[in-house]
Amino acid sequence: MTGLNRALAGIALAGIIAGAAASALVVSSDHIAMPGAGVAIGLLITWSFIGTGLYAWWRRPASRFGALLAAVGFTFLLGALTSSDDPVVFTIGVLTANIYFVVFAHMLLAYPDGRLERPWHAKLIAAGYVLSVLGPLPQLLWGFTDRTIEGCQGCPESALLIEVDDTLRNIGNAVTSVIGVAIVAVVLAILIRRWRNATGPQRRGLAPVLWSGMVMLVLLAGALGTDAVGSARLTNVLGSLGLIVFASVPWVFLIGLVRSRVARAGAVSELLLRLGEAPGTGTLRCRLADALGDRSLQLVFWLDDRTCWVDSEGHVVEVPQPGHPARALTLVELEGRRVGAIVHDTTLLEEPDLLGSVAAAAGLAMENERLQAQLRARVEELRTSRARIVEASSHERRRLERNLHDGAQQRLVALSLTLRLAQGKVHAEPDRADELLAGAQKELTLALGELRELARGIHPAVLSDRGLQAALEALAGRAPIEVDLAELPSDRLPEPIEAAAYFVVAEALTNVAKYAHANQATVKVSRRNGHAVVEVADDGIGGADPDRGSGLRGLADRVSALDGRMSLDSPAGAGTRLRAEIPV
Amino acid sequence: MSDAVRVVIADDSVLLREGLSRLLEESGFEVAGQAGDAEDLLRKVGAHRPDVAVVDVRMPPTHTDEGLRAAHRIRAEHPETAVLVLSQYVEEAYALELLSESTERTGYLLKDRVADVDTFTDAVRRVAGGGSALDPEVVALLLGRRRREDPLEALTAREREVLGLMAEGRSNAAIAEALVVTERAVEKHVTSIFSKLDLTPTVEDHRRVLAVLAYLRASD
Repeated sequence: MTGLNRALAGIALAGIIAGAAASALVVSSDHIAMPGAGVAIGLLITWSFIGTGLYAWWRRPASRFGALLAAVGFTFLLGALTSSDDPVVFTIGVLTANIYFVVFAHMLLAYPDGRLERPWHAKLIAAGYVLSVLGPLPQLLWGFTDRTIEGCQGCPESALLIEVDDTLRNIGNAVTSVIGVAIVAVVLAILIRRWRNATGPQRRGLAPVLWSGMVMLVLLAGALGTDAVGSARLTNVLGSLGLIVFASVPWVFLIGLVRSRVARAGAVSELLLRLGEAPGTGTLRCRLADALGDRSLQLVFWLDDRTCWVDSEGHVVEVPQPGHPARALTLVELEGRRVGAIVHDTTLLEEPDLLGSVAAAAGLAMENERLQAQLRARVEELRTSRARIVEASSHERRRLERNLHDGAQQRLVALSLTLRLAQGKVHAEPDRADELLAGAQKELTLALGELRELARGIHPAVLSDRGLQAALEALAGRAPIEVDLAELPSDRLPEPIEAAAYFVVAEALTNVAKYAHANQATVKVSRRNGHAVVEVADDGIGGADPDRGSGLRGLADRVSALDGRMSLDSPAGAGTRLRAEIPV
Repeated sequence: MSDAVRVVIADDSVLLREGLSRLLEESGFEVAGQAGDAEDLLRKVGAHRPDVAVVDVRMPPTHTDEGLRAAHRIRAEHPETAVLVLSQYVEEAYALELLSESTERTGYLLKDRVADVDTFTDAVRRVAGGGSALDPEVVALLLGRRRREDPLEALTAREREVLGLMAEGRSNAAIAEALVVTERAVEKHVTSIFSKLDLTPTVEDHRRVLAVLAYLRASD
């Protein structure tokens, strides 16, 4: 027996003993007209609340609702003290007899998890508790009303009686009744608003208790109100009706609980059957939504390689974090591997067993849909990266064209002019011609230098001739910062991979030199688990923006065109680390 | 047979080949043959036994590094023929690869350099005479490389200049002429450089180049 079970059994025993003691008190009373009926009704109500309360407590230990339900039962027993013939006990009974009603309102406000939503709700309930004790005081201090005397033949005197004063008593009664009705009205307003704000599945859960509770509140508030205006008959009728509805509340709750369990257990087995018979596309969501009774349910799939969630279309989606007020995430696993998750209403968290069995049943079907989603995500990624590659290559062409036009071409045009000039002066002014030719020579050297740099930028010859190592050494030698080639592969990699690795390092080093304020960069290229891993780290200021410029984006596309992945880690103040992994 | 330095030229561009040929002949060289690809070059070097083979790095059929490979073969098969490699690019990897075994009778120049006739013919004569020639841009790259605790920082500006010229393959006399100082002054600089860099001093020019290059290459 667990600690919880032991505690619950103890409370059950206490409930039985308290019920028996109260019954004894009622039966032995001199002033109770029909003790048998009173005992039967009292025990029925008390034990219903305590019993269903303990059951709910046992089912959902995390919720305090069961405890509140049981508390209603226990406090209801306090009314039995009014059966005592001893004036002091009788007076205590009168003072505490209404507490159960506030506990009940507390329970309704705290439904279904047993916690009050807002601090002011707690203040409201506290006021209710105070009022429930203060309410009978006017009668106890200044004498009972006629109606009370009529209904309580042979009751002992109040232990608190000062003197009989009808005026004071009536004023006091009116005041407490008005405050009482006001508190009940506010509680009702809160409950109605909660109902209106509730989602479908939440409403289904709230309905039985909320509605019967609200009816009970209305009836008892009505009783209070009619009492204040002195309509004794109506008060009695409403009070009796209220008591009947009140007695039904635990049963309504219990029926609701059992019915939803039965219905959902049926839905789960139906789900299992359906999932077994047809490989579904798109309908999986509907089936799970049916099984869980949550129309708003969504499925998300986990992509291992990109470590992100996507929907069935393959679009990356955000999932609710733990503690989200309305939505919760239940992971779906297959053979210990995460395949996806069900995003659902938080109310379903009340039923971990149901969620667990649905999640387990959905595993295989989810895996199928996950593969499709993965494929769609991949297609989507390819489409966008293809578009970017096209864009990048035309951008690159424009850049080359501009460089050629502004650089070498201009110089060659100038050169042609100079040569023409020199030609004209060869005979007339040989010295001037000589000067012009020397200038032409200089210009030509510059044009050649520019062409050489341009060609190297397009594709360094040494890369294809001598491989990555030599190309990276050349790159490191030209870098304006110190570059440590910490690790390089000993053998050659396939050409496209070498080229991608080279340009990753080249772009990274360019960025380091431009933005990082670094003294040193470390380059590592290694082969690990069938991947070429390229890493460029610097000791600069960090805080690099991965979306900065088209350079990194273009590189990421180049890498992803080879099924690789690129990541940038650049915490502010702690250097930048660019990492690309390309399958070999 | 005249005293003129005999040259075989290999380049896949006819225009450049002809240009080079004319330039060399005007400068007093004898062009013994021209080749359009590596195979042709090896054949002509075998037939003419020239003093120098001027070889372009990129040649048919793959247009990658045929010229370099041919250069290695010439050095292995015809050690009496000097090799001067012309490259479109400043690739220190090629240059160092070529000069790593021996700097004797070996040169690596940027192709643009041929326009500067004096520098070019000087380089051809130098390698023909048993020395070496390394393009100033390659040397500048090697010297400019960033190093942790750079020992080159200990050198004075003038010593760095001298080191650069040594790496290019120039003799003390040539260095003195280039810097307009006495040979004696150059010798002093050289001794100082060798002691600062912890190198063993040597008189032979090509061994000296080798030591300097090995040093520049190793210390990154």
